[in-house]
This record gives sequence, structure tokens and C-alpha cells, in this order.
Amino acid sequence: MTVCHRGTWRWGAEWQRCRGVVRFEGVGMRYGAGPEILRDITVRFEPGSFHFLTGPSGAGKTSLLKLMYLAERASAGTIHLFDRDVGTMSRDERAAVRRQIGVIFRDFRLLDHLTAFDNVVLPLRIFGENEERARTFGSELLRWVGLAEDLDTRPPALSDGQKQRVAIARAVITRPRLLLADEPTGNVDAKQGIRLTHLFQELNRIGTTVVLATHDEAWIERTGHPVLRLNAGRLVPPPAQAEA
Amino acid sequence: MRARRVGLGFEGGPTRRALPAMMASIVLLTGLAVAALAGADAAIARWQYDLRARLAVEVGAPSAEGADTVVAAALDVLRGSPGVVAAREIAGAEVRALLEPWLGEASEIASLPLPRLIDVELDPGGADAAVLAARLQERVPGARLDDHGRWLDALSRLALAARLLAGGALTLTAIAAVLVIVLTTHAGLAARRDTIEILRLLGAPDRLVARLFQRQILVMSAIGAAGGFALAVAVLLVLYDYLAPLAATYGLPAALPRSMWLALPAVPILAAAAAALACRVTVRRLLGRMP
Repeated sequence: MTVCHRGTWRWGAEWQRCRGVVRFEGVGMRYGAGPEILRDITVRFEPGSFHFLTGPSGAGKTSLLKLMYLAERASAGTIHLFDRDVGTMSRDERAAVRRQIGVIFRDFRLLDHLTAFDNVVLPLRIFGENEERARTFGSELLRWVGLAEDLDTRPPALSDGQKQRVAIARAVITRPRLLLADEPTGNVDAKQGIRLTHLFQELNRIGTTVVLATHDEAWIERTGHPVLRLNAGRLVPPPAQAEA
Repeated sequence: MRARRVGLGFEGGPTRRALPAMMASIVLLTGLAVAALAGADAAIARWQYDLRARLAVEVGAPSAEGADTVVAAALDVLRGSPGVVAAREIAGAEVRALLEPWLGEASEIASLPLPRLIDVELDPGGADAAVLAARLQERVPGARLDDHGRWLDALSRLALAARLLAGGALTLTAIAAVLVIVLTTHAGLAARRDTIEILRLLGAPDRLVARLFQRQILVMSAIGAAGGFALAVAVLLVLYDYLAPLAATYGLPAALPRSMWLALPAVPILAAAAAALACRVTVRRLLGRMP
């Protein structure tokens, strides 16, 4: 991972290395007229990389993810996704970019009127995917996350852990180029947590760029993937860069 | 197809029941207002036609023999005038029968000096009552033509008032209908703001989200509108059944007016289209507020 600081990475090879799936340059964000939640974020995630995003509560992890999945707009700086400036994209282009991103929301964002199965295959149906394929993928994924018995159950009848697994299955069913997850193992037991970690790593192995926001330091240490730390809306430079 | 597969959550929800019921009521009321307007229009047109197509000539003569001559002369003049389809003297018994409800027993009427009357049938397009009156005045001094001018004027005023009233009622019903459609659609969609946002976050373009919702609203509205239309037709047929025997007595049209049958099917189509359009605008507006 390279955390690119403004003013140090605009030239030559450094600049080239700072291109990627996600590229933030001096990004700030605020909700309405409120205080700035994120300040001067400059970061790049290369294709096929795996990153953890951590920091204390209120540090801005969820807001940073929202900028990445285009649920919010930056109030300062520029954001590039898949090498395109999102600030200049039309609404249709933003929708097309969203289709390449799988998101596991902290609050799941499942549709209560749909069954677990219909929630999982929803992205495929939106994309107009063949129904037979959607059924095959959906059933397989739900079986894989341990919900084979709950295909027809609606979210209100599921536990938080089950909802989270449905949300994970929905996020990965399209094999996204970029997977963003906000506390994806927060509601599952240790055994399921390990299975999900394997799932994320498998997706990463086949080329998906993964960014996971979590408080779970043990999980971060166990996997050994690079970590991006946020504090009070700012990126904390890794120790090596901080010393430099 | 995709709308059904995606599922927007209207199934079993209040909008699913409220929107068709509301559409049915609106189409029924608007349909009846359209029928009232068309019916009033047709009845008045019929009355006006009848009045323009018929004249009465009154012959007042000092003696019966004199009257016979005047009536014969008047009939000659009338039958030879352009635009006159037929002219016949109304028999004394007929005149007495007409007066009986107002003046009492026939025996008492017989003693009265009744005028001799000629019923004239005109071609409303080819006859000019004023020219006919002048001609009659000139050639048969004892004959006086009644062109129903007083009645025609009153009827014209009544026609205008009836049209304004029915048109006003229809306009108000249509405005109320559009407002109710817009508000119901808006409420149904506002309750689905989450669904709209999730679809968008999963990558659905605005036009797809708008189309999915529009199609659902259109289907629900069309079901309600079709029901309302069927109900309106049933009510009109029953009403017609009740009114048909009175048609001849009151000079009403013998059949439900064709203009009504032409306008009536437009009501459910326009109502469902208004709902779909309101839905599209609302969804687009909701989406426009999202980044």
C-alpha cells in the first residue's frame, strides 16, 4: 500500500505508482454545513490489493467508505475510481461505477420485503442477469455463508449475524472489482468470521480489491494485510513514513 | 418483468390497496361527471333541435267559415315555403286534449272560442322562421306564427348554464383527481425511499429505478382505473334503464350520447397515465436529491 501525501507524489514514477482502483487526492468531506468529517485524505489502492481501514469510533471510516461507493460527495479534493474522476461523471456513469463495487453496509441495508435469496440476487436482477444463473449463484452463496435453510426467510426474521451474511453474499455475488466492507464480521461468531475472511481473501486472490473497515485489531494482525489508520478525520501515516 | 423480479415492496402494502381503490373512485366520479356533461349537452341539443324543427301557426278568425279559408291559405303558403317539411292542422279534439289538464273537462272547453292551430315541421338547416313569419303575415293576415323564440332563448341560457356547471364540476373533479393521484403516489414512494436508495447503491441507474416504480404504479393504477370504468359504465346503464321510459315524455335522447362513449374511455387512460407520470417525476426528484 502507498499512502500518498499531498505535495510529495505528483512527480514521475511516484505519480504513476499513485494511480489505482481508488485514488483520493486531498479529499475533505462534511455533511451539509456541519464540521469536516474527513480532512486532506490522500490515498491510493492498487488493483488486487487488500487493505484494512481502522481507527477509533467517529474517526471517519464509514464516511471514507461512503465516498468510495459514491453515497456521498467530497467537499474538497478529487476522487478517482477506476482511473476516472468521479466529480466529472454523469449520474449514469456513477451508476456504472457502482455496479463494479460490492458494499457490505454496517447496517446491512437489506430490503425487508424480499426474502434472503431475493436480497442476495438483487444486484444480478438489476443488471438484467439471466434468472437461471442468478438462482444458481444465489443458492450457492447462501449455502456457502450457512444460510441454505433460510433462503425464503425475510430479514426481519433473521438474526443480526444472519443479516450480515446475507449482506455479504449480496455484496460479492457480482464478483465486484472493488469490495468495501464496514465492520463485516461485527455480528458473526469466530467460526463464521474465519470463513468470511477466507471468502474475502479468495475474492482478493481472483483480482478483487478489498477494503475492510474494522475495529478488530486481532483480525488485522492475523491476516497481515496493510492497514490504513484514521484519526479525527485524518489519515495517520504509517510509522515508516511518519519517521521519514 | 424485471420490476416483478426486483420487487419494490408494494405487495401487501397500503399503496397496493389504496392506489387501485382511489383510482377506481376517481375514475367513477370523473366518468359520471363526463357522462353528466355529455348527457346535458345532448338533451339540450335535442330540445333545441325540436324547438327549431317545429313551429305553430295560430289562426284567429271572426267566424268558423272565415277561419277555414285562412287555415287553408296558411297551409298553402306554408307548404310552398322552402325549408318546410310538413304542415298540418291540429284537430280541435287534439287542441282540447292539450288544454284539458289546464282548463278542466272537455265539455267546458268545447264552449270556448279556441284558436285553430297548424303544426309545422321544418328542416332546421333549411328554414328561416323570420322569413316564414313575414311571408305568412303578408299573404295570410289572420295567421300568426309562433317560432318558440322565447323558449329558445331560455333554453340557450339553460344550455350555457348547464354546460358551465357540468364543465366546472368535471374540471374540479379532474383537478382533485390529479392532486389525489400525485399525493398518493408521492406518499407511496416516500415510504420506499430506502428501497430507491438501496437500488441506486447497488448500481441501478436513475432511469431504471424510475421505470421500475413507474411500471408498478401504472399497473396498480390501471387495475383501479379499469374497475372504476366498469363501475361507471354499470351505473350509467342502470341510470339509462330508469330514464329510458321518460325519454319520449321529456324529449330526452333515446340513446346514451355518442360523445359520452367516446370521452368515457379516455378517463381511465388519462388517470393511469397521470399516476405513472407523477410517479416518474417523484422518483426522479427523490433520486436527484441523492448524490
